[in-house]
Amino acid sequence: MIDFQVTEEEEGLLSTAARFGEERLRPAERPHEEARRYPEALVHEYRELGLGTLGLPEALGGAALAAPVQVAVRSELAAADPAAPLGLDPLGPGCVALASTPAGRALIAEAREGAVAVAEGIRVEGGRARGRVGWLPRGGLHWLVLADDRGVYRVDAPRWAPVAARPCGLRACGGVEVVLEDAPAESLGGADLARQVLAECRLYAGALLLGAARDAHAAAARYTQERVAFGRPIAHHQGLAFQLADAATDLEAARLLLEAAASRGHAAEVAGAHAYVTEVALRVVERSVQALGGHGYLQDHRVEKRMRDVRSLASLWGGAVLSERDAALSVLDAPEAVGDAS
Amino acid sequence: MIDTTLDAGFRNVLLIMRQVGRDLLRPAGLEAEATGEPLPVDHPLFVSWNRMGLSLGLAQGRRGGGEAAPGQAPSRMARSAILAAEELAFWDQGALLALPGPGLGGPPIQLLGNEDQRRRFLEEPFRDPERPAWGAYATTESAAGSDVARIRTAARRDGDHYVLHGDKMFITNGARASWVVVFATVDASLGRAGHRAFVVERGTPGFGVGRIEKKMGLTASETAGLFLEDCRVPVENLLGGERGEEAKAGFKTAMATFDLTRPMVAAMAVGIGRSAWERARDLAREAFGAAPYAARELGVLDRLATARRRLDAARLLCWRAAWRMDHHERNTVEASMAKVHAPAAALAATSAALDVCGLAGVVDPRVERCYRDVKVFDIFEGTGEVQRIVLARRLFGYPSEG
Ligand SMILES: Cc1cc2nc3c(=O)[nH]c(=O)nc-3n(C[C@H](O)[C@H](O)[C@H](O)COP(=O)(O)OP(=O)(O)OC[C@H]3O[C@@H](n4cnc5c(N)ncnc54)[C@H](O)[C@@H]3O)c2cc1C
Repeated sequence: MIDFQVTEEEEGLLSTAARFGEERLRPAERPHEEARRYPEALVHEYRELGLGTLGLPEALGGAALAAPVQVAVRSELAAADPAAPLGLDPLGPGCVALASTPAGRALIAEAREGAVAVAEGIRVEGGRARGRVGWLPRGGLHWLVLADDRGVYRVDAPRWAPVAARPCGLRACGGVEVVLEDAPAESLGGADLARQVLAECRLYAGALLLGAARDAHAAAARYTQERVAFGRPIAHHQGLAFQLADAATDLEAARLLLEAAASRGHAAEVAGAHAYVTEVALRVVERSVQALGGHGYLQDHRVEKRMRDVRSLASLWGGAVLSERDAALSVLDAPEAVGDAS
Repeated sequence: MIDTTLDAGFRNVLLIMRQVGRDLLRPAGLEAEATGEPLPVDHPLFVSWNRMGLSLGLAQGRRGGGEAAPGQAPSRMARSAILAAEELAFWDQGALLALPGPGLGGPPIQLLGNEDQRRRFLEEPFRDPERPAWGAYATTESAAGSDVARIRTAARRDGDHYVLHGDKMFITNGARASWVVVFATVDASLGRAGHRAFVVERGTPGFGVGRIEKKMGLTASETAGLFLEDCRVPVENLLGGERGEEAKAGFKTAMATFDLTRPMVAAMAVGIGRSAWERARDLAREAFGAAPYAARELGVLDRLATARRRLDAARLLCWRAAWRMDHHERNTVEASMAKVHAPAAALAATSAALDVCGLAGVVDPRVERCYRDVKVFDIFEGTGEVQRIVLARRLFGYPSEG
């Protein structure tokens, strides 16, 4: 039934995430970024609250939350610090899908530092992987899972090095560069699993993009109602007021589209929603910096960081380039918009 | 958190409307396209529609304002109305607007009218399904559209009557209506506080029909100019009280109907967009076969996918606005968001559909008509700019006189 009700339990989770964000993440956002890592105590606290394993089955120590709830909770965290979920989660996204296979469960049970990457620029052939991943937002790596159009592969003990250059955003996650030269790659599943893994990564990225953009918009909305130019708050000049109204509308549309895609679970729909969210988030953060003028360009304001963080997020897992392609390739077979059985 | 499935009840609404749309609206709409004229009042569509005993939910605004007592059970009315609006528009928007009934004139009478007025205007004219009847709603004038405060149609009390003088423009079903709710001013210097609403009945001396407009689209729907020349309207036809304060409070209540009509109108835009989109999708299916695709085909698929997600997002905004109304929660922001977003998404979808169909689309009424029909959705029921002002007021403290 067409329904948008947030249950009391969901409300509780969201407020836990929001409180953790406001109290523990936002105040130290810049120091964390500067250090390019999160302190151990914070990592511990985050995981104690259960925020790091929202979607994993209970048997694997997770909370088994439905996908749309995961989206909402991660958005809430990302509003306070867009880097936090990636930097604090013990395992990156993709693991819920992997947990559907025995080999994937074994991997997760090891619970050591790992990541899922889309094998762009990497060739996996005959059980061997070759190529380079320029940047993964992790502090270290015991294993790497690669997904491409044909399947999902596990690479153990990949050769990695901390990225020397400062990434555009998400700096608090740290960052590694991975080079694979004929690394043994064990298959975990075929194209179906790859689609699910990728869908999970896209929902994850989408949630963070939304949270970050929503926060930038909120900051811009507040600032522009206080800042006066030409005799009135700048938010009350129509050119700016309309842009703010459009941003609010676009963010709401993007949120609904992403949560709906999460609830329906069609991989192609998730790809489309991810492409949409990415486009909206990139636009909103840029407009939010613009709304603060020169001040927005300074590290004094969080819109500066949101614009960089969103750009980094937009590049993960193939970004909108790949999700646009996937949405396009499946559009002729997509379920009917209204009235389909699902 | 979110559930976008249709339960049996909503599915039923959808299927009924699908049948009505396919069997009645589509053929009538194409007929109007062929003649280039609004559907004549004796078109069989209207009696067929009446016999089905369906309503579009427009007349069901709640008396006494939008808010409800806490704990009141959720309704399904708004969501049903939204589903119906999209589905009927999918088949033909012009014919949908031409359907008999009180139309946009319903809500002000329902909300501001007394019992006698509701009986005379909402019940009696519509009692006999074999004799289709229409109501209409007239605020717009040639020199006053978005800026409603500028209307100049004057109302002057004279004994048991008001004398109305002025002209109205763009009135949907205005020429065929049994009555028109006409907004006029008792004192132009007062702005909106001087406005009063009158039910002007057809045949009242001095009340006449001007031009039937020729439009870009919505051919099946009649858009009329009206004039009032010292037209004497009995006091019993004044809606919502004579005193300024009373009338103002009444209009505020009447404005609450926008909270439903805006998402409905937005949903109609989505329906038109989906109509063109599905036609283009079907043609692409026939033409392209399976992957791998040529470069041009990939470009086409990308256009379809982009249009699809924008439309889907627009639909969700409409649904959410309706869901809030059904749950008796204030939804003015959500309603305006839907109305801002959907017309643009729908226009883009119709244009993308034309891209997909190539030159054949330009002469395919199932595609090019949608492009012409949908443009007006960013104009009527509050332009896109007006919606942004509503949003800016509610969200960013934008001043009211802006
Ligand atoms: C097919 C059709 C059916 C209609 N049916 C009815 C009906 O049944 N009853 C009825 O009363 N009316 C009806 N209308 C009229 C419709 O509601 C008006 O056209 C609409 O309100 C816009 O008014 P306008 O045309 O005078 O444009 P204007 O108000 O003159 O607007 C022109 C442009 O200026 C912009 N603008 C105006 N004010 C501002 C501002 N403050 N800031 C920024 N931009 C601004 C507008 O958004 C628009 O883009 C209908 C119109 C059409 C086309």
